[in-house]
Amino acid sequence: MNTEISRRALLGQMGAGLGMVGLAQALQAEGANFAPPFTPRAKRVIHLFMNGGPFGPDFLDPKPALKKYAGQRPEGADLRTERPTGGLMPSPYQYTHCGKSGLPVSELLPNLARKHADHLCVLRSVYTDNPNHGPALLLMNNGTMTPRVPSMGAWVSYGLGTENRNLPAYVVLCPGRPVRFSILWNSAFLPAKNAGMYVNHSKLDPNTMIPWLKNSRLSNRDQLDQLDLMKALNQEHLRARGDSDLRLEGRIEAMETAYRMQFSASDAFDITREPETMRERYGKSHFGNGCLLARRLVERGTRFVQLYYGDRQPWDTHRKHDETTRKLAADIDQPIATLLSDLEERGMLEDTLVIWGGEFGRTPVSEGGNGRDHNPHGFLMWMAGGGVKGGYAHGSSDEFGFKAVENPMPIHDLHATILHLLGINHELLTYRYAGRDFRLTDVSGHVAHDILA
Amino acid sequence: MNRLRLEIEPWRDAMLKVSGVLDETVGGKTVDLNDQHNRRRTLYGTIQRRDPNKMLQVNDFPDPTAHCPARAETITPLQMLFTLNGPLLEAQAANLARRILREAAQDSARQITLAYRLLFQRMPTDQERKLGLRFLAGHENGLPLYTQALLGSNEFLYLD
Repeated sequence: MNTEISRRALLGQMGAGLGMVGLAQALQAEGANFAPPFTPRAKRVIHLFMNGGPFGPDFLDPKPALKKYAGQRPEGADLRTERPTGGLMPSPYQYTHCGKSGLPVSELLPNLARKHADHLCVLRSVYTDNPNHGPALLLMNNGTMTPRVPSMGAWVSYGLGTENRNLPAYVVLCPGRPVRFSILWNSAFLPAKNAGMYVNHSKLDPNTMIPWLKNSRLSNRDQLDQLDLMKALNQEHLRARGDSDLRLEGRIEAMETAYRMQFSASDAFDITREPETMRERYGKSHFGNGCLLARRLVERGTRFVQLYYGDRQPWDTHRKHDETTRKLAADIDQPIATLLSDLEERGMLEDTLVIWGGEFGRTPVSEGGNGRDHNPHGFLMWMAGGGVKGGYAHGSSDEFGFKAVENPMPIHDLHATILHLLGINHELLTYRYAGRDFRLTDVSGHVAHDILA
Repeated sequence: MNRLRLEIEPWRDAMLKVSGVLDETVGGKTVDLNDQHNRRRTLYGTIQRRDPNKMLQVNDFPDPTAHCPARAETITPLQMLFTLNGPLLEAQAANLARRILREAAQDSARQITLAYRLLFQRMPTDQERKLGLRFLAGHENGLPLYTQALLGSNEFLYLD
């Protein structure tokens, strides 16, 4: 039987509006259950995606051996790289032990170090399966190298629904376009409304961010009548066909979301409605604006916000790594520190999971003298908020930061852990498609219990 | 059943065709798709790689800087805002309404029948006729609103 239909029927029985209730509650009513026997620790996710891939030891994983062996290629530093690479290249930044936890944070993140070291849960041993941007971006988003399965945000939207039916459950922000586009946030075989809604926030007017947001010629009454007509005709069409087609239903639902978005989005996406002091705290860079926008969206019930740092892949520092990284770090430090403080002040940090990382990391060996190549063997991400230990470092990479060695965390484990934090058992959140049950973690995935608070 | 969805190009072409304004000339220079006087097939729309056309972008047109073996099919609220508020449907709905007025005059029942024959190659069902009559009776000059709803309907977009 088609899950969407039974869910729909259930929602009808419960008298609830579509979109208000996620699958979790609906399935519980049915007797099935993908929720583990504990209260979800996070209700929403903000994923700060450093597209291109940052180098962990520049930030939260000191590697003094890089200096000791500078220019050399000792055993362990000769892993396969995508392009030709030379000897080890030290990361020149000073580390300080910060907060009560004494978590080492580099000078590149002064604000984050001062205010939030004790909130950071550093994952030092993530690894992925492909050294190229396209496949690695897909892996980080959907656990495979192909665009034929749903993205993590789509799974979360499917599992938990949205807390605000006037806004999409899953929004993707980027002041431009990452090198892979809508396949990174697609819903694949899940109902189409779970796909991420892409918004380019490089201009701040909601009417520019969201094309055709306003109807300038129709009165609200006329538009509502027109919408009712379209819905009635589409339902006739669906009924006459007598089968279930998620696309036809998805389009009927998306039409209603779009109508309501005209009003709710004009507010939610308008960061100029924030006090000037708040705008200044975030800074007014693209990334600062994106962080503030992400906060406004999750505050209003959007379940999953993914913020790509920039157009194409700004973190892809094959040349002039240090020079570029200094600029990038200076651009993200204050906005991220403000985002965490702002969430904390609103009492939302405890149930908002903030995730930071790229699609992979970078090599400790140099490329072309001053660059760093792609590194899938081991890289760093961090989380904060919603149910993770703060001031904590999980796993470790080798002495050069090249390869994950202790508690290595493949992408499926990362996904399993994120779902767990959201109160979802990754083995039970499935969708039947093409003759089998699919899930985000395929036939793998272990929850990293060590990082749970 | 292998139901097919029209991609943005044939969808736009079909709108221009039924509203009676499609320029079917083969070959020639590209024309800006934002130009409201552009009545050429969408195939001839100008593609700027650095600034992709929003209509195409929102409707699953692949990134022109990369290979694309197959288009990803999405259904998003943005596509629906395009349908409800965008200038393309507004203009073609108006053209279609003019054509229908020309051929079916002021008789609402005839207007509805003609619209169904043009768009769907069939007669409307009783229920569909009733919905249409009620809508047209409730709105003075409601014909362009009605034709827009039909151009944006699932039946016009999906082929059984």
